[in-house]
Order: sequence, then structure tokens, then C-alpha cells
Amino acid sequence: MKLHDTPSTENLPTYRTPPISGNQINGLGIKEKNRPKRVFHALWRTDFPWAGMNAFFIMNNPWELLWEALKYRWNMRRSTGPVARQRVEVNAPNEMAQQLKEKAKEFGTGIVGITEIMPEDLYDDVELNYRYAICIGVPMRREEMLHVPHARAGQEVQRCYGEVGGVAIELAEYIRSIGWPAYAYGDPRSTDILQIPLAIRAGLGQLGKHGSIICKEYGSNVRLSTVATNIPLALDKPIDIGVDDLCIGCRRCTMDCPPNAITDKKQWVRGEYRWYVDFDKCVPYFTATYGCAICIEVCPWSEPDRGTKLSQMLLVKRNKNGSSPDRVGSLTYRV
Amino acid sequence: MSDKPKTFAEQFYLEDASFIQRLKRDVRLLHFLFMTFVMWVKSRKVRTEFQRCRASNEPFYVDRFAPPGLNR
Repeated sequence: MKLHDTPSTENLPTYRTPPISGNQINGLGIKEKNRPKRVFHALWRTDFPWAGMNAFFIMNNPWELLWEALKYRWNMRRSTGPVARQRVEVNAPNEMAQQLKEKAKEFGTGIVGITEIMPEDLYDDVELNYRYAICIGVPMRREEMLHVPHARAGQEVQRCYGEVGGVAIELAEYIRSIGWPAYAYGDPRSTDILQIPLAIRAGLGQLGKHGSIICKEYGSNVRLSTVATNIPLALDKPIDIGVDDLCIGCRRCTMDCPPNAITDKKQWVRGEYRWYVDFDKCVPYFTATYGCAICIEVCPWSEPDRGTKLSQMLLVKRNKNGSSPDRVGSLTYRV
Repeated sequence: MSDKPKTFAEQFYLEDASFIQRLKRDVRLLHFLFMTFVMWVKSRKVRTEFQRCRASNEPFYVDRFAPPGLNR
């Protein structure tokens, strides 16, 4: 993908009195496992350090984008609801997992996987009483996303959140209809969980240098949602499609990131050694450009129909070279 | 009662709620969305000012802004 008409990094929205660094809040440099703290995307609160930037992110949206966001939040009120009294007992968790995956595909998901929810997947101000996460991914329309970093691409991101959130709502309603509690989580602006680490452990993809998930089917051109539930399910395993093999040598997102927020080295973040995008550099540009998304669209994996071949090539090359890096499950995520 | 602020999900995604509770939730959510909309409508001048600052090489500060927030 070739970028055109990229807004400059001069005169981005800024603070007269800078708040605490978002990198510090995110736990950059911390080697102990910790739960994440809210740093952005928390409109219902007014007391978090980056609240001013968060408010301006909404103010700066064109009407079409705001409308998609309002519709989405209204629909997500159906995230949970009454559970049927008669419960379908689950004797074979693997069969139930398969059944729910087929249902998710029927409702419109592209990719789906299942994992267990860990405390580190939740923000530090919430408790969650669910054991399993059914992670769902729906691709964005590439022809719209080629307009990054402009409002048209931002609108497509929000539309896709609506679509993937709708799948999660339908799947959660189905699970509740067979007598098990289930809770649909949508976009990062209103949820209590981190979608990307869960999706990686559920085998949907791996983490890229640009801080987003990369899956074989759609590259990074995908949005996620999650259904949390207690229905007994067989778990999926993290996958290795060779993302690190490419990211280590590829500098496409690093070079195309206008504010230079992407680095070529992994770093310690809350007990994980992983890729990390500099929050303080990324967010002002992200805010000024309706969600930016340059890094996920210039990623070679996001080219349509390229992932499978790219993965095969990288894994063959690795086997030839005889190296077997322990990269499965390595994490990083964006705001 | 805990002083911990409720998250968006805790306030609006209700489990086993009665009809009345769901109705109250819908009214509160509509109010929150309306306040977000009002914030956006009022910020037309802010958007213009931001574009002017971008064009004229002036800094644009966000300290003065606050999200709509919610009553606990």
C-alpha cells in the first residue's frame, strides 16, 4: 500500500501542563506482572490523566464518525441480559466449543478462537466473574481503509466495531438462551478487558511490531470483540504464523509512522517482554487524524490474500535456518 | 456502598435486570449519548480553532477539555 496525503506532525494537539506519561501508566519498563490501568478511551470518567486528549478525540470527529460511535454504544446495551432457566448441560466441552464457533460464523464472524481469561486481561478497576473468552474477529473493508489516516477510514473502523460487536451480542444471546451466562464486549472505548492479549492466546493471530494483532486471514485489517462466558469450553492454543520473523527485519510501519511512535526493539511492559508503541508520541497524532491506522494498513500482512503464503514462506525459511524462536504468545497492544 | 467509580460496562450492561431497571438504564444511556452529542455540537468552534492552529503554526492545547463523564 502506498500512502498519500499524510497530515504533518507539526502542531498536534498538546498539553500546556503535560499529564503523567501514558507509557508510565501502561507499565513500560515494569518487569512484574500487573493489571492494566485506564489511560485513554474512558469517556464516562473525567478524572484520568489523558481525559482532555480523550475529549478532544471525540470533539474532532466528523459527524458521520460520531454517529457510528453513538449507534454502536446504544446497541451494546444488549451485551448482557436474562439467562434461560433451563440449562443445556455440557458433557463434551470440545463439541460445545465447535458448536459455538459455527454459530459465531453463522452470525458473521471471520475468525474465532477460545481462551481462558486471566486477571491481567482486565483493567485494575474491575472484577470479572467469567472464565472463558470467545474471541471474534471481523475484517474491515480494505478499500475504505486505504484512506488512512483520514475520516473515511475512521468511519470504517467504527462501522466494523458495530459489526463485530453485533456478532458478539448475538453469540452472547445464544449462549444465554441455552442457560449459561454470557457477556459481549465490544470496542476499547467502553469495555473492561483488553481484547488483543485474549485474541492472541485464543489463536487468532500474533502481535506485530505496530502493536496490533496480525492474523493470517486478514493481516491487521481486523477488529475484535469478545464474549465472556462460563459455559465449559475446550481452549484453543496460541499460533505461530511467523509474525516475529518478519517484524524483526521489516521496518515498514516504523518508517511510515508519522510521529515515530513505533520502535524496532521489544521492551518490558507489565511483566511481558514485547513490542510496544510509544503512547505519548502515538496518541496526539491518533487524535488529530480520527484514529490514524497507518501502521495497520501499510503492514505487508494486511495486503489481501497475502497472509497464508507469507506465513508458509517465513516458516519454511525458519526451518531451513534451523532456528526455532520461542515467539508464540508474545504480546503487545495499542491504546 | 463502595466508593469505586463504576465503569461504563458496569453502569450500562445489566445482568438479570427487571423491566424497570432496563428502562432506567436505557434512559441513562440515552442521556449519556445525548451529552456526548451536545459536547460534539458545542465543539464546532474548537474544531475550527484546531484547524486554524494547524495552518498557522500555533500550539493547540487540550488541557481545558473534559469528557462528558457520568454521575455515579
